[in-house]
Amino acid sequence: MRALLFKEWIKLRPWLALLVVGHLTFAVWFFLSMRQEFRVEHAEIIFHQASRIGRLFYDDLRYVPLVTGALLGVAQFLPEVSRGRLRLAMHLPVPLGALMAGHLALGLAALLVLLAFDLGALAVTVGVFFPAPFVASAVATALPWMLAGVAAYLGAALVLLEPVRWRQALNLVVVGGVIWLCHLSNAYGAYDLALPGLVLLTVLIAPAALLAAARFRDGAVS
Amino acid sequence: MTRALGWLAMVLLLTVLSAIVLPRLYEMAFARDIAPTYLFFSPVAKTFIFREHRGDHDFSYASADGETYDRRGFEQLLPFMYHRNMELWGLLPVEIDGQLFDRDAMRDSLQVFELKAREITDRRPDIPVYALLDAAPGRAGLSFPEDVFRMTRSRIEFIDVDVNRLDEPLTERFTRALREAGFVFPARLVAGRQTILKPFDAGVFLVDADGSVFHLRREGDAPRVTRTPIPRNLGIRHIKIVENARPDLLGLILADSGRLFLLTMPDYQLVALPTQGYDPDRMDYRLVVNPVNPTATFGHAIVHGVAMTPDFEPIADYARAAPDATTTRQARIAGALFPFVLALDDEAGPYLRWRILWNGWPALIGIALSLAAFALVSRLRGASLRDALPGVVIVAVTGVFGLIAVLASPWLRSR
Repeated sequence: MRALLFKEWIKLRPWLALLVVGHLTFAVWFFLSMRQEFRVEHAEIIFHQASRIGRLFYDDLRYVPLVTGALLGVAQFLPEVSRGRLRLAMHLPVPLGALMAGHLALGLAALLVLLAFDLGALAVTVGVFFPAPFVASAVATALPWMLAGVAAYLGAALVLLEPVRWRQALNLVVVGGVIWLCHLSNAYGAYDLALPGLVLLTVLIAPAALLAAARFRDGAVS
Repeated sequence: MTRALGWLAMVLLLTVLSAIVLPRLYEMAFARDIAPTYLFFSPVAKTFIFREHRGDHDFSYASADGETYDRRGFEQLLPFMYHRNMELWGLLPVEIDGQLFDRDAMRDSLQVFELKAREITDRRPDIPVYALLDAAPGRAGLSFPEDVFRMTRSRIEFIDVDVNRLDEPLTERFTRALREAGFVFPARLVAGRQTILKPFDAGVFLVDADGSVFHLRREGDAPRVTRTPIPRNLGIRHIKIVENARPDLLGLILADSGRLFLLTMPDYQLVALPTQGYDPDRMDYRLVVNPVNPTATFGHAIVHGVAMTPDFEPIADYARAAPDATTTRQARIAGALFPFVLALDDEAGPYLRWRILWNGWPALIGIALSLAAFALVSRLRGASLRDALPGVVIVAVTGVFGLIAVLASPWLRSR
C-alpha cells in the first residue's frame, strides 16, 4: 500500500506544484484586490455593502475549490483509466475497497490542504480589513464552495472510473447536481442550516466511486 | 460489500437529486403561478375589498359583500393608497367621515409598516456589526460614520473602519453612557435601520440582558441614551424601525409570544395590534395607516384583515381563503406522481433549509405505479425476488424517485 501511495504521490507531484502556485497567486491577488477596494472606496461604504447589502467581496473564490477538485481528480484518475494502469494495481493482493480508499485518501488529503489554505487566506485577508464577525461570516459562506471542491474531486473519480459511457454521463449529472446544490445562494451565511445535508450527499459520492471502480475492475459493459 | 455500499450510495444520490429536481422541472413546465391576494379596508365603502389572482392574467377586484369592480373603481375605493391617481382623475379633494383630504394630506398621512417572516432577526444570517449614524449631522442628508460598533459581553465597542482598530475613547464613552442609564451587558438584541436613505435617523434600540429596552442615539460623538418604559418582561424577539416622514409612529415590536406592537414616539408607548391567526414564522404582516381606518393584513393561504379606528381599536375583521395553487389539475397530478417533494430553498428567509413536503394519500397511486413498473423490469431482467428486494424497498418508500434511481443504477447483483 505504501508503494501505491508513493506512486500516486509521484504522479500528482507536478500537478500539486501547479495547484500550490495557483492558490498562492490567487491568495496574493485576493489580498491586493481587497486592499485596492479600500483604497478607491470609502471604508464605511464597503462595510455597509458587506454587512447590509450582502455584497461578497470574496466572491472570486467561489469556483476556485471546484476547479481545484476537478483538476486534481482528473489528474489522478484519467491516466489510470485511459491507459488501464489501474487494472494492474487491482491485481495486487490488496482488497479493492482498501486500494481505492488509499487513492481517494491521498487525493482528498492534498485537496483538503489546498482548501484549508484557501480558507486561511480568506480569513486573514478579511480579518485585515474587517472585524472578527465578518471573518466568521466569510468562512461560513465559503464552506459550501469548499464542499463543492470535494464533490468535484470525488465526482471526477466517479465519472472516470465508470467503464460505460452513458453511465459516465449519468454520473456527471449526479455530481453536477451535488455541485449545483452547493452554489444555490449568493447570500452570506445562507448555508448555515443546510450544510450537514450537503456534507452527507458529498460523502455518498465516495462509496459510489468504489462501485464504479468495482465495475471498472470487472469490465462491466452495461 | 463494496458493491452493495456503492449501489446504496448511488441510489440514495439519485433519489435525493430526483426528489429535488423533478418536482422543480414539473412546476416550471406545468404549474400556474398565483399572485397573493391583496386585502384592504376601504375607508370610503367601509368594507373589505380585495384583488385576487387566479393564474395567468386573471385578476379580479371585489368586495367582501360580493360587489365587483374594474381596476379604476377599485382604486377609487382606496383614495389614500392611490392618491396620485385620484389627483390625475380630478377626484381630489375627497371627503371621508366628514373630513376633507387633499393630495398633500393623503400623502402625508399614509404610512405602511410591514414585517416579513424572512426579516425577523433569528430567521436570517447576520453580521452583528452596526453603524450608529449621527442623528444631528448639521447638514442636509445623513452619512455613514467612519466607525461601526458591535456589542460584546461587557461593552459596546467602536471600530474605526479605516484602519480596522478599536476606537477606545468612543468605546469608553458609549459604554459608560449605557451603564449609567442602567444597561446590563450583554445585549440581547440590536435593532436599527442601517441605511442613510431615510428622512431622519432614530438611532438604534438595544435590548439588554434583563430585557429592558434602551434607545441609543448619537449626536456628533456624544451618546444619547434613553431607558424606555417598554416592559422588560415583554420578551422581545424583533424590533423593526421604520423611519419615515411621520416620526410619531416609529416601528413594530414583535414579542416571543407572537404579539405585535406599534412603537409610538416620543413616549415609547406600545399599541397592541391585532394578531389573532398571525404566525410570524410563516406570515408577512402589513399595517396600512391612514387617518380614517388603519388596517392590518396577514396570511397567505387564508388572508386575514382587521380594520381599526384611528386609535387602533378593531372595528371589523375579515378572512378570505386565497385561490390555492395546490387545487389545480396540474398540482393534483403532481401530488399523485410524486410521494413527496424535497427542497433546499430559501422560501422562509435567506437561510437555505431542507424541506420535505409530503403529498399525502394520493401519492400511493404513484408509488403503486412505480412498484408495478419495477416489477415488470425485474421480471424482464429475470431477477430473483432476493435480487429485487432492495429495489422494492426503495421504490415503496420513495415512489418514482426511487424507481428512477434503481433503474439508473447498476443492477445490484449483476456481474
